[in-house]
Amino acid sequence: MIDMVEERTRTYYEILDIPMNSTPEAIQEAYVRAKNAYSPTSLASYSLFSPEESKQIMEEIEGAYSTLSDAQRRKLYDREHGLMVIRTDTNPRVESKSIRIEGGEEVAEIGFVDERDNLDNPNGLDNFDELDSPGSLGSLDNQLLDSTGRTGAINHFALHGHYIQTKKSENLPNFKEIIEEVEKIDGPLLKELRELKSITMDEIMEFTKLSRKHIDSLERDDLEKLPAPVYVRGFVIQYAKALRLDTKIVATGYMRNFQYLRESHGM
Amino acid sequence: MENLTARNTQRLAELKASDGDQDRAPKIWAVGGGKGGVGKTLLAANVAITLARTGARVIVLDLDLGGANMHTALGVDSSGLPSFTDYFERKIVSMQELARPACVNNLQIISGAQDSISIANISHVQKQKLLSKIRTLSCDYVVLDLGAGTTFNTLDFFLSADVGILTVLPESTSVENTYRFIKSAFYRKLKHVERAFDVHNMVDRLMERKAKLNIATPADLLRQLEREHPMLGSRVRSAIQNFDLKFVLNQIRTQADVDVGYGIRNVCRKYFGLSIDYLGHLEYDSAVWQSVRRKRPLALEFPASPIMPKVQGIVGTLLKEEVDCIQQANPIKQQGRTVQL
Repeated sequence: MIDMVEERTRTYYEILDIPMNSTPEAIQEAYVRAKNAYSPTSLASYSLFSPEESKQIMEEIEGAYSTLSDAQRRKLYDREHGLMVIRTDTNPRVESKSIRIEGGEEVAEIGFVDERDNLDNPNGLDNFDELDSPGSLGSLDNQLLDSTGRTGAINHFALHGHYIQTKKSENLPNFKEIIEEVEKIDGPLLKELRELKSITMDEIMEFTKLSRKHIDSLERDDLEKLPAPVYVRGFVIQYAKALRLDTKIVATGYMRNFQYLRESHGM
Repeated sequence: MENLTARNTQRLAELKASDGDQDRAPKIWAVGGGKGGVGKTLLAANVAITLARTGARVIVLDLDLGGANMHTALGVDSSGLPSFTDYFERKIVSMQELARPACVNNLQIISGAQDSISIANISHVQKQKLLSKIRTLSCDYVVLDLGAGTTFNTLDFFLSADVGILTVLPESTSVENTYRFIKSAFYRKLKHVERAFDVHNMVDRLMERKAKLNIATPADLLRQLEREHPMLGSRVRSAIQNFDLKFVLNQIRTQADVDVGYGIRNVCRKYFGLSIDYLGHLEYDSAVWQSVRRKRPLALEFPASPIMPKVQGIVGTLLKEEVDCIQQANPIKQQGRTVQL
């Protein structure tokens, strides 16, 4: 069924086109998608929006992401806007209602509650492997993810239709072997791989939609500047995709080292 | 995917049986899209075959009037087929008699192959006759294969369906034409509702003041309409909500192509104020043109094509939505039953 979306009440979730109970990883993916959808060269939007309009929409997307990617600010936003997820059953995977309350009135929509979606869960890190399975974007998205990027039916990660290809194709080391055999995967290694593939900072920023600051912090393992681990994981996955590396191995390896560094710094 | 289709087929059969209403009017699925050559006929033909194989009785209606070739896509010999022209000239009395068996069991085709050359320009009355008779066809599903373009006839056929599926290619020309099609269908729908309400030119009058009212998108227009004419506005809103609009991205080659679909979904929400389902995507597959060359449907000639599981997924999703819809409409019947879909 089509549901009409009121512009003036568009929530950050609607701007990113995701359900209210999305996991941080799903939020990050939706953010990259939304930015791709409104980029000046986007097939999907160039014929409907002027460059100025696209710029304005991009700002909305940034605003939405900066709040939703921060667990504390997200919680506050949900509370302030009367958005909350109410469980109707003790089974965490059961269908529940996401109820939006405006001045006592219910403007409800059906949503899905997932056990992974517990922002208060301090053990969230333990569930990383599970987070790798397609997120809570709804069954269609799962199906699409299943049938494409995830299982490798289509292996080309492309940027606006252009493949990111290694510029120096000859004499390149076997990246697969490197990441499978290195002792640890850390920021400097990622940077080295990126440079070996001749992918510039601008290119990786464009592909991952991450800021220079974030990529720089990631490549330097800058614990102070990097956000909470769940988001870092999302960044690493995008980064690995841009380099066409196995996202799971890279993310697991990087996060193991990241956790170790955090612990050794008493964080 | 096959399981999804089979499960929901069985569930639908149970629901319909418990309803005691097996003779209900058929559901109409329309396949359209602004541009030519984007795979409308390919999708319609293979969806129809997949649906017929679930045991449902399906009639494919080739409404690409003046450009009909569904018969070829289904591998049906066109000689001796009856035509819409025969029907309009009353040589054939009932629409049902136009249906001829197609390539698999339970599947029939109403073809436009033998139509006269004037068929592309049918009159308003002829169109109304067609539209009113589609639901009287004796079958479970009617799959409409529409022509390219945004003529009123095509839009009206599309809007008459329960489910409207647009086929889109990840190419600028196709995406532009898709938006044009959605926009045209949106305004056509507004006009239908206006007429039903016996108000005229309300929308045109709003559009004359669009700069002043800050109306940049169809979503803005509908909001302004609701503000100025709450009754008409809410009627339009519910009419649009009742129409189920979906799209399929065809000829996918890269992950970026797949992502174009998500972009289209997000942009439609923003621009049209409509949430449009991204029903799935079909890979680019050279088996398609080979099957066209052999004049045989893909489902029969190249069943191992990567497109076929996707088509089954699409049919499964649509059947599941129908099940959900029936269950929502009859919640009482579901009490005491555990429904596992």
